[in-house]
Amino acid sequence: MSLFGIQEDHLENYLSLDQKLIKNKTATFFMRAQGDAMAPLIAARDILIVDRSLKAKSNQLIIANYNDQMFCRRFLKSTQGFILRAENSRFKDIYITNEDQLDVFGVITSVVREFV
Amino acid sequence: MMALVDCNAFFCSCEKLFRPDLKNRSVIVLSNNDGCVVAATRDIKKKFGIRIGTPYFQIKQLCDYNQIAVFSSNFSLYTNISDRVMKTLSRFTPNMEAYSVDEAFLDLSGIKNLESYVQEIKKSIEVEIGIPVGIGVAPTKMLAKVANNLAKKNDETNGIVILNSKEKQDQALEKFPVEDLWGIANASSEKLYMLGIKTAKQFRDYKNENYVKKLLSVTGLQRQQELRGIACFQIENIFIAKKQIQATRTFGTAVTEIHPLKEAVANYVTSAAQRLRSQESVCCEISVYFRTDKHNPGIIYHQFFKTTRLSSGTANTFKLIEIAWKLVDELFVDGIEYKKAGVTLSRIDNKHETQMNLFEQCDSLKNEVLMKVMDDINIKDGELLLKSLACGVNNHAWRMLREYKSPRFTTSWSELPKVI
Repeated sequence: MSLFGIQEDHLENYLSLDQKLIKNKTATFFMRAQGDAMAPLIAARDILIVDRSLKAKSNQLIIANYNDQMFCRRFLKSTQGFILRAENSRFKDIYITNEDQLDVFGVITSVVREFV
Repeated sequence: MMALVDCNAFFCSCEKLFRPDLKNRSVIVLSNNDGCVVAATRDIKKKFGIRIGTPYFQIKQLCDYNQIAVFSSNFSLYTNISDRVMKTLSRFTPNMEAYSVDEAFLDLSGIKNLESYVQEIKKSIEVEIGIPVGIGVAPTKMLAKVANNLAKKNDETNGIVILNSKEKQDQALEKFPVEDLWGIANASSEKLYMLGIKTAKQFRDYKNENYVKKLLSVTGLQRQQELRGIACFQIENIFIAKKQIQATRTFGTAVTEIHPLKEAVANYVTSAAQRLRSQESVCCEISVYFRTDKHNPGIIYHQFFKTTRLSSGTANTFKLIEIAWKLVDELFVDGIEYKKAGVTLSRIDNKHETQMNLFEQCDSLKNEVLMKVMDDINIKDGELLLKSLACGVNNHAWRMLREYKSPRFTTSWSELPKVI
């Protein structure tokens, strides 16, 4: 039953998180955070939304392949080269001096955390 | 111009995507049941002489010793990555044909700066999805296949070969073995060898077209025309319903009793019937087959096969299982170790156009709704959540071996790639 036809005119779709958080569906991958290197910004078990179609800019969060592992770190451009920095100060910076060695998997565009 | 985009060692590239430790390692992927090699990185053949189709048990030690990374087939991963590749490619042309899980023809007619456009395509797939591709471009599909083949074989091409002039085509076809041509099977190439034709160029320039037609049928002649740059094969992007649907598997361990054999058959019927419904078809014929181990010289080889015609078309899983089980009952012989079974649905019609039968009921509306609900739930879940109890609940006896399967990285929340 409609209220003088108002409902039909004003029915809009439910909001979709997919639409909000995923800009490039085919280039977007989900990953699971482990450990506390990025604490308190990113916690263990968080779902990371990673877009491969974006080019990493300085100060962005990225997934980088380094030493046979996938790292979640902040990407910094410095005069000496690139730095992969953890949020947690107990973790050391990773310096990448040779540009070719930097293997960025993608840029983290958002984080999903489930509480319940 | 026609482009053929082909993913390099696609299954292996998928396995490497979330495994940086495998970046420079040799990788092989095994068939269903870990039977034989279905995909291998390029160095595998050169370094170890392992070919596609080699049984795994023959090379297991070699793999262990040389630290070759071995994977069972992970189809949920490959299908997901394939879908990403195809969707990304479709951005570049309105006219595209996904030719297989890892290759597609793209119609690039009207594109001005072909070389940079093709480089852009290649870069997009490699950057956005992370799967390396080779691209061959030429006036026809047949020549695009040749170009693609050369792009993959020669490192100096950087994965792109464009055969847009007669000279380039001459040069490419001159050294190209005729048996490596697309659609030229062994039998055909042997016939061509008899005529002294060994290279693709000799085949292209062979003048007696009538004889080519007689020898290799009309399609053979079309292939020759295509090599000459005359397009005979168009982009086929319309969905063509399959005329026959098959589901066959080798068992993890041999089955000797009728019960597990029936369970396996019920599962194959379930998967075949789901595919049948997904193309909006019904079938009027079902065949069941099972056999013993082919590779074991110690036992006598037995094969059983039987077909039943149905008086009216159906896509009802339960009805088809019932009929398939009758066939198993009729064929089954005690005391034999069965290693493989399969089901074929044939005489397939569109469900809206099939012949009704006066005396037998076709699928009722109620039944159709039930099937649709089951399919919707099963497709959404990705696994067979709802199925007939005939399929069994514990398939230990015959279930496939997948000892080396990687996680479902892109299709399961609990198996996402982990980062530190």
